[in-house]
Amino acid sequence: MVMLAGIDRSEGDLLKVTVQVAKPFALAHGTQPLIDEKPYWLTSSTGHTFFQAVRNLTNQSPRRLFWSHDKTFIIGEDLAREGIGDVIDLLFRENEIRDSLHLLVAKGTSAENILEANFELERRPDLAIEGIIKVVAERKSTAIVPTLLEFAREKETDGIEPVIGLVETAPRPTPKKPQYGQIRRETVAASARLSGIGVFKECRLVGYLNERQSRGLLWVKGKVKGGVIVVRHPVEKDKLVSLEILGGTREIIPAIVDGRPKIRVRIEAEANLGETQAEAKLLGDEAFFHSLERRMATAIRNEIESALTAAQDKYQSDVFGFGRSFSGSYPREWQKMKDSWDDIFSALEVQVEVVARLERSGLVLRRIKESGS
Amino acid sequence: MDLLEKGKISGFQFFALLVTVRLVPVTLFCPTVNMVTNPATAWLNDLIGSLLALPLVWLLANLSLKHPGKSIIGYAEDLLGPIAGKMAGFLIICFYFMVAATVIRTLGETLVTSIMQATPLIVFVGSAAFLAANSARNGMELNSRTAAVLTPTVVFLLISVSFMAFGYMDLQYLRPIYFPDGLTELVWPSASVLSFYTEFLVIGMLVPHLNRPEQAIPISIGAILFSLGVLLMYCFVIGSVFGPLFNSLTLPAFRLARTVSIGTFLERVEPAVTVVWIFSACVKFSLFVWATAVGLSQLLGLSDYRPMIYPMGALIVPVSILSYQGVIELLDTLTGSMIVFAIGFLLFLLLSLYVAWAIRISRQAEGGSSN
Repeated sequence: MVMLAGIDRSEGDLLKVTVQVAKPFALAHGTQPLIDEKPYWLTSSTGHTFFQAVRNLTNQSPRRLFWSHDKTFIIGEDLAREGIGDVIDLLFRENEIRDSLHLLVAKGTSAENILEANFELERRPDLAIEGIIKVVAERKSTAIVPTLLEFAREKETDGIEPVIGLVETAPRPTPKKPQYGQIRRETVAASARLSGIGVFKECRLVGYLNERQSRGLLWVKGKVKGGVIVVRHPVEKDKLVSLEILGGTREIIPAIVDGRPKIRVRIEAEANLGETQAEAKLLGDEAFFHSLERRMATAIRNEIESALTAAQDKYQSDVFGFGRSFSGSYPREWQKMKDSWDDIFSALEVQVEVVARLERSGLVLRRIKESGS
Repeated sequence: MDLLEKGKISGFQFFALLVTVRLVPVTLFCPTVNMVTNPATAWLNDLIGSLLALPLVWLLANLSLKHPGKSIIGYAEDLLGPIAGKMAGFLIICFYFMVAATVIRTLGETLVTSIMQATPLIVFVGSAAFLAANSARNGMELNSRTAAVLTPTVVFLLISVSFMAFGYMDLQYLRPIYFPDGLTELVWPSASVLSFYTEFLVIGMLVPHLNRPEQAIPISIGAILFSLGVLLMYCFVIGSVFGPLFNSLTLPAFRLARTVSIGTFLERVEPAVTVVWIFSACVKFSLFVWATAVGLSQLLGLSDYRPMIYPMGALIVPVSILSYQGVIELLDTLTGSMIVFAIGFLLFLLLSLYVAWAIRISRQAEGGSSN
């Protein structure tokens, strides 16, 4: 059973496939004692094509590898920059692979390095990575981890470029001496963490969005489910206020004014007051409240504009899918724009409107005072 | 020429048989989908093809009603005379035979493509053909009852899979309804939809066995409209789930079932689709083997069709295997020559039968004879 797999560009023309194969005897839990052994076997092989590399794993595996339980697939950065069309072809064609397979790109490293990472909370790295993907999507909204189906269909859709979430190694120093209370000394090597979004153009990775830009992209895609926005305190300017995002909706309105395409993006976001570093009087102070809301709206707009700048100026890649909304609403004009869309997109006028609403303030209505006055 | 089969079927059984006949090419391969370029306009093909099928099927059912107690083989001979009638009957039988061979091959190919790649094709084709031939041998009533039970199951499974697909749909793929290259791109896919309705030629064999033959026309039309509903549903679901990839799928319905899930507890429901395949393909195969055997016996003036079933089944298996080299050739045929052949054949047949009928009526009017 393959639990986690990745692919890299190896020396020369070779591709290198790395897999974590479940060790059933080491996975046992319940009444049986936990065997002190990694529950997976990490192995890799090379080939001229992806399929050949996968089959070459057979040389080392006494059991037939079964891929249906693989939930995540990691692509090394080198290969992603070259193009991953061939990888997607096999994954989408192969019978054992699920369409819900999550795709990740290893940022600044190889997929193999990511597969070597260990996680403190899970013995199985595949569960750890799946868990991180899920938690980040719900509570931070700074990464899009597309499924195979989503990536493949966006790759083929006109007017939108695909994106893939990034995973990078998180180095951790190993403690020199055993710490008190530690029964057994463990050396946990590098771990892995999600970090932003990789921008693709056709099938090639062209660049990264950082976390802030990533959330900007997610706002426009309507995929923000949670996260924290930090704004300045409206009264005491050196203090900060953290707002907890509850969710948001978006609307993309394409228009053609005087023969020039324009996009209006309207975001409605909701948030809670999560933390404040200075007094926040919410009751009876409407001005303060609205000021916070305005600050939140500005913060969101900045996130979106930062993502827009990166996509338009740096990568010329329409990851937002603006072209697609034109093809839906202005099919006739779209036929003419389609071929030069990258140029049109980089000069596209995008108007961002954000309506922010604060809903609740947690379990207290005011800040606990520092001095009992 | 008397009917060789004494069985009677109810209106619902007739309906179920017709719907099964039409659903097989939707749920196994869906070749029409492979011909369409824009997921947003695919449903128009289903609509046009089905609407065009309405008059053809009406003409067909009408002929049967005007010749009560006779199958299409029988009245073709009445209308066209002994030699031309026999030839027409033989062509019709060949048509049934090819449909049966294609169905069983399609079933075999889908099973080999999707779940059991290492199993030889003959295992599926042979075993399914044997089972279905047994059912056909026991008369049409058995098969019709099976259809009446299985068709609702099949439709229920298809609808459940579609509902499960809600979370995967991207409705933006259903826009825009726009044809950059003009309306001509509708022609072939619509013709393909229509070509599968030509299999309703089997109505000619079924109508004499209806409890109440006068229901034949409304039920046939109902079956077309119902199939159209299922077709449209599948078209929308597959179009919105797979977007531009939807014309790249070998087995759209299977792929859909593999993709969808409810939460994390109900996923990989493709066995449901496999059940649909086996049920519907076997019922359809059985129906066409029966039609071939009964038709041939009538044509040759035999007193019983039962001895024909096994040889017929045994003949269909090698024909189905030898006719097509593989999935690609099968799909190529279904999306190419088969369209022209099937529609052309049905039109030619209907035309000649109606012309013969018109001549007969006018002669009777001239002669003033009462017949």
